[in-house]
Amino acid sequence: MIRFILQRLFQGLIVIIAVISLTFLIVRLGPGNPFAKEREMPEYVRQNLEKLYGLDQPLHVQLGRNLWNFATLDLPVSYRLKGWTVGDIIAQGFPVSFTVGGCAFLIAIGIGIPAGALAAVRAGQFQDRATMLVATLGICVPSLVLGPLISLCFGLKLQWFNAGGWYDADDWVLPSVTLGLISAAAVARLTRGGLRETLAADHIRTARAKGLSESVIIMRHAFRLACLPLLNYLGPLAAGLISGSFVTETVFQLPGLGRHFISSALHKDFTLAMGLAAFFAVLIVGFNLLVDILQAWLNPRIRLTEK
Amino acid sequence: MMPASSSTSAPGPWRAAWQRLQRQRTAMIALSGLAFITLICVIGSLLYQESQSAQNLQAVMLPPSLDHWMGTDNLGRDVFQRVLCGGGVSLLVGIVATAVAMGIGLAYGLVSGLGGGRVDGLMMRIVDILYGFPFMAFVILLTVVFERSLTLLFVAIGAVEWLTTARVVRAQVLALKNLEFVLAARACGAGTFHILWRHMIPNVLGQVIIYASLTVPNIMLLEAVLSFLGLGVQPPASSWGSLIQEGAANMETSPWLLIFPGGFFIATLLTLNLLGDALRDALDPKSTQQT
Repeated sequence: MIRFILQRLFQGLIVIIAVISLTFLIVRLGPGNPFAKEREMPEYVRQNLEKLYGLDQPLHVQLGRNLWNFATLDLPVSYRLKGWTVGDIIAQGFPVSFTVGGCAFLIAIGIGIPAGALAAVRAGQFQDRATMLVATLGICVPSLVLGPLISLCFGLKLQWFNAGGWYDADDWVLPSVTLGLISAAAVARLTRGGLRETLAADHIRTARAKGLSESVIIMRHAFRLACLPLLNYLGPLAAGLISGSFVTETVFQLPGLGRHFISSALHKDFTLAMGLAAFFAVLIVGFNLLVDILQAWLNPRIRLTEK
Repeated sequence: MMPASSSTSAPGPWRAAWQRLQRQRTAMIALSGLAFITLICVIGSLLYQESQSAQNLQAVMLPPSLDHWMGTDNLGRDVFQRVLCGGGVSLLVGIVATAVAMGIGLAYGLVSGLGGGRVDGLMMRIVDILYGFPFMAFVILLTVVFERSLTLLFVAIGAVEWLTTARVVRAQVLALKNLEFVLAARACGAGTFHILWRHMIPNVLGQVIIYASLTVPNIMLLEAVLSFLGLGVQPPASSWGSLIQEGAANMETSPWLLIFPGGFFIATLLTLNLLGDALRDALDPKSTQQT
């Protein structure tokens, strides 16, 4: 098990190095320059700027220095937001994204798992058809349509919440609901699929034959196994939600990481874009590792063979 | 002895799949809906290519009426024409980018599966690593660094959506590689290319089609997100994503600007998803036996 985790950690390290190197290469080899402004810049100013940011050195030296900076957590200064390091911006934006994304994740599993379980238990009956109809509709309503509609309905018309911005303590509600409902639809479909497959398995038939009650069978015997395919989806989902949604943060004008990334990309603020991409990769790697460990814990077959 | 006529009465695998598909009522409704949307978008794109961007400042922000079925926008452009032309762009991106992604995935999976051994291990390790990438961030960076165009969208989106196809194809190839009919072909002296073309590709195509039908809505969604953020299709051209963005900006005063493109987009995603599920049942004999 420890060897397995170390292996995964090593793989994650490669992912992060690859992400930093690739962003660096896309940005440096592509056309465009962060200092290209409308006004013509005197040659000596440009040279000094490039020297300050180390842009005058050969490519591989720059790349190596970048990797070293990330490794020592000595994060570079943003090209555009002068005086802010990438670390400062993450420290400021991540709490916003984390609050909104974390609540969205709780909404997604809080609605999705019970709904999917109900549909699986009542397979073919009215509850199943109704839940699956709503879930199928739900995965087809993208956040770029649902977000504005929710903002219009509860923000502008009913005025229960702010339609956008990050001022009051309850500003997380509308964006979290938007993200949560959309993810809940996919979670419900996966839960139903996993649980139905498990309920047809041999060990469940044995449990039924022993005369166990239906609730014990579902909670103790079926659900653990049904979780396995679901976990593969929930890991990346949690990473994606917590690191900030590009669309939802734009619709609700939240000062989170997703919006920081878009503005950094639009303004060619490449140090910030690179730092945020690396941070996203760290989150994805971390959650994938968590999923692997949870799966090994839930599924004796993986646990025993990997030992 | 088998009667000679049995070859005509037993349908081939593709025809059998089509017959199974026809028996599913939702699938046929979804297929006709999708065909209808595609048809009017194609015809609309051809008819209104010029007039969709024609401004009429005398008729700004009009609600739907007989003259303008879906109202007009803030520059007096007809929303009906723009929704059809935007749909043409969205569908085009969905289909072409999916073809790019499936092509890369098919080639990668075939090479990896047939190569086997070290090559296979290395290629699959690369896929594992790429799965950990924050792809949305990469697509956004690509659209920012390089000049925005439809071609860039095809390439950028296609380049990130091929991973699962590659895995599926490789698994199929590994399963097929040592079956008798492939060994027999090899014993008869068939070259690798012949086996690839005559035996591998026809057998993995079903899986690729299933996966492609589920990828098209994902890619259309990705395109819509990019256009919504202003990074995809550039004005005066439009796609459903950019129309939804314009609608969201004016939704309080003119909700029809959001409702019509949004409705068309949702309907398309819904038909594609329903069709994908049905195709999976029709093309994968295992799943039909289970249900």
